[in-house]
Amino acid sequence: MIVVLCLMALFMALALSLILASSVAVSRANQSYAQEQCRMSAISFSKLLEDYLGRDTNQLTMGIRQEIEDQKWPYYDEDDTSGVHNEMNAMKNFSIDTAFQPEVEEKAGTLKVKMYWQTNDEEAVNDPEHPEYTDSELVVIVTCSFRKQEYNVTTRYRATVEKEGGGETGEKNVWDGTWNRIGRDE
Amino acid sequence: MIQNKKGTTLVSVIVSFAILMIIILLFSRSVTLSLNLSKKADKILQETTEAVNTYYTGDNPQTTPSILNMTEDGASGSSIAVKLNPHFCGKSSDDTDKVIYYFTP
Repeated sequence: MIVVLCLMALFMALALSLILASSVAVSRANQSYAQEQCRMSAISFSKLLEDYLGRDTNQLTMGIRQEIEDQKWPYYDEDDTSGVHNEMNAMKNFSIDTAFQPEVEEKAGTLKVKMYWQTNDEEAVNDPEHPEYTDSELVVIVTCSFRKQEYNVTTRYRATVEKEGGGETGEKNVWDGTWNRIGRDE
Repeated sequence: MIQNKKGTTLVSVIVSFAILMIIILLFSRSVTLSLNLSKKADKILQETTEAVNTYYTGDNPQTTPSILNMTEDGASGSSIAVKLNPHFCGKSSDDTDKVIYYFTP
């Protein structure tokens, strides 16, 4: 009787470990699909934003330009000690509302966007008369969450500037409000 | 001498045998279940690969115009609010139920 009970315990342990291992395999396979969907959603949404940022006639580019030129949106400086250019003030977080089509969030996941801009030439940006954005970069981080998986795509853009003027005033770099992609990290 | 030896009764042998049968039945059930789960996992992985391949190589995506509102979190006063009008697409093949969804301008 004792031998049978010991055998029972052994077989039960074996059976449970088999079921556990195969359940883990199913769960990992589902995670793999969710991870791929997250990746595709984040990358395609990032490319969508790239398309918007490359054109100067939409709410996104105009909104960003207005916030920067009106100095309502400080640039981000990780070494900042004044508190003006820290993460709290300089980073903007956006949510994507899919209230009109809830199935978009259901199928593609929840999207969030974080944006900040940086400059290598603080004096040129802070020039009260003719601010220049030649060395300015916009960083856009798109995050997609889908079935407990998360994927981030970071895209860096440089302000598109054109040379204007000449003569006595000299040539000036004028920002046309759009952004050119210079890199993408996944 | 024979009277002093403790043997196994027929009842305990029958009970042990019954328990053993139940264990074998349960074990075979669990093996079947785990095999089915493994097959399911393989199928999901295969379908995911197929869906990703279809995303890159397939034609004729199912496209739906969509409206997405991108609003700044916790913003008071002036803030950036954008209405995006992407196409929401999904490509599927006949071999799989899984579809990869994505956005296009």
